Amino acid sequence: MFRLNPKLSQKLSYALLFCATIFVIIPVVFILFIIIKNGASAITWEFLTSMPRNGMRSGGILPAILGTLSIVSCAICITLPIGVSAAIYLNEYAKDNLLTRIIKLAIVNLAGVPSVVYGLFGLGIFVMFFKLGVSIIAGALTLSIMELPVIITTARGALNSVPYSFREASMSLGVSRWQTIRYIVLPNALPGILTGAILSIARISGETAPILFTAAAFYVPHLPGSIFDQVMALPYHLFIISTQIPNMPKNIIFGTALVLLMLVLSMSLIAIIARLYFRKRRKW
Amino acid sequence: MSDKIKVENLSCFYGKHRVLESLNINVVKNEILTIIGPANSGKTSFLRTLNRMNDFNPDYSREGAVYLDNDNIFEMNTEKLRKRVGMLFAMPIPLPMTIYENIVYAPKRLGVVAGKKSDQDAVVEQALKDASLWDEVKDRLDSSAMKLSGGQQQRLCIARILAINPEVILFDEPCSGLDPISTAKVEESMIELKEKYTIVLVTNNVKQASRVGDRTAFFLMGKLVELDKTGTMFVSPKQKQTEDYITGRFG
Repeated sequence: MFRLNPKLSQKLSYALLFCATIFVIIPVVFILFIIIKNGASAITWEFLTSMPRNGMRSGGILPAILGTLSIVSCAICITLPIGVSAAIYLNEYAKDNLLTRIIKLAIVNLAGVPSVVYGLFGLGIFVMFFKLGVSIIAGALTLSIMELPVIITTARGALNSVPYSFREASMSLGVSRWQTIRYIVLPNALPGILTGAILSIARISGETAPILFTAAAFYVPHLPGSIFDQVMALPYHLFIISTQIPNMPKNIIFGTALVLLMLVLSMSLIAIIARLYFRKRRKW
Repeated sequence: MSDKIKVENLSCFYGKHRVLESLNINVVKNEILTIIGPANSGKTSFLRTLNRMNDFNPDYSREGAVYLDNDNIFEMNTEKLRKRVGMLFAMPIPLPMTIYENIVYAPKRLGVVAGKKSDQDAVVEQALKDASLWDEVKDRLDSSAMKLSGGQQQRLCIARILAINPEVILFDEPCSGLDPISTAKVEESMIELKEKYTIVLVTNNVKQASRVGDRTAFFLMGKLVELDKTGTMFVSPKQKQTEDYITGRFG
């Protein structure tokens, strides 16, 4: 057996770790490069603000953008209050008993269910059983159920990061548990909760499977008018134009991908900026 | 002299482990009762029982009774009890807000002070003056309480308790993280405070007990070994264990 001298092994491991890091970045850079190179030419004001024409081979993608925005904003409006409330209950009130442990286990496992299963679930429950039809609201409900475990987990993390001593100090003054949560814990956990919510928005904006059966349509000739309308959605639209329509101009496909990517990336960027801002303002 | 607090046969447990054994002790109105004893003697458990802060610990249980002005505290609403019996922790814990907000926080939540700004200003000024912190912070009431020094933070925490006008104040080793000068200031305010309040002080510092205590109790392994006037105990302790502890032979 041969032994490397410590200095050489140090250099070698450094080089290996560095290569691994580069290896992570390469695909991301590559994806961005290809999408921008092929899609940038399609991005015009008209592309972003008009209806598709000529069997979607020209014109814009406005209904898909609006569709995705309305589904996602509806979903987050449903999932955020429920998720944060559940997180508060689990973190601040729940006693450590069998039921609580089962609920916590369920939340962790729900996060691992494949998204297409949520899609089928939404089809069965919201579209058919509750007769909401294929609509924004059915899609939003499906997405919100899918995102609930993630919101609960991030919100619990944010609540947990508020030191226990603050709660103790507040309650030692005779302030009730709920007031302590409302005036001490929540304001200090809010940055973490918000960042989690923004990242969730970014994640569900790109989901295709859950809205496939519940909200998305191949083509809708008008803009969404109410939450009971079927809509076009960016990820599904992208799937259709890249697989179902012959002679589709390549730059429109990549242009649509670019718009979706920018939507998701700008959400992440907002989350990063918000986190930096709140970290600077944090007082402890 | 009347008893403010009367403890009858109090035993406390964490799980099956008994930390306090059949304790009988009283706290006289407007006195400073200091409690000394080595680590694990049950001092802090006793103190945290008096305003039921131990109730948050799921392993904790107790037997016996504690009377505050003839009312059993274990039958009281905990929020009302804690408004009457305030507690100062070993480490200063300012809430993450301004100095001003720290003081008005509890009075506002408890509805002790009206929403009017002038009323709140008066509460803040009075509380900070009583805790002898006013002169040091009156020009920066709107800056973060986290920026104060350790000693100032601890006096801010005292002011925060005074703002809700309690009857009893529990001090849990309030000077363990402070330098001698800050310690002297906190002790000074304690002696001023006993005019209006009844004080129970748990301390690891035997000298501090002899400086500020009217009566001193010596706890060992969850039992009350000796309780006497501070002057008497430090001059002629009745128990051998007490003498060993206060002369520094063990603990």
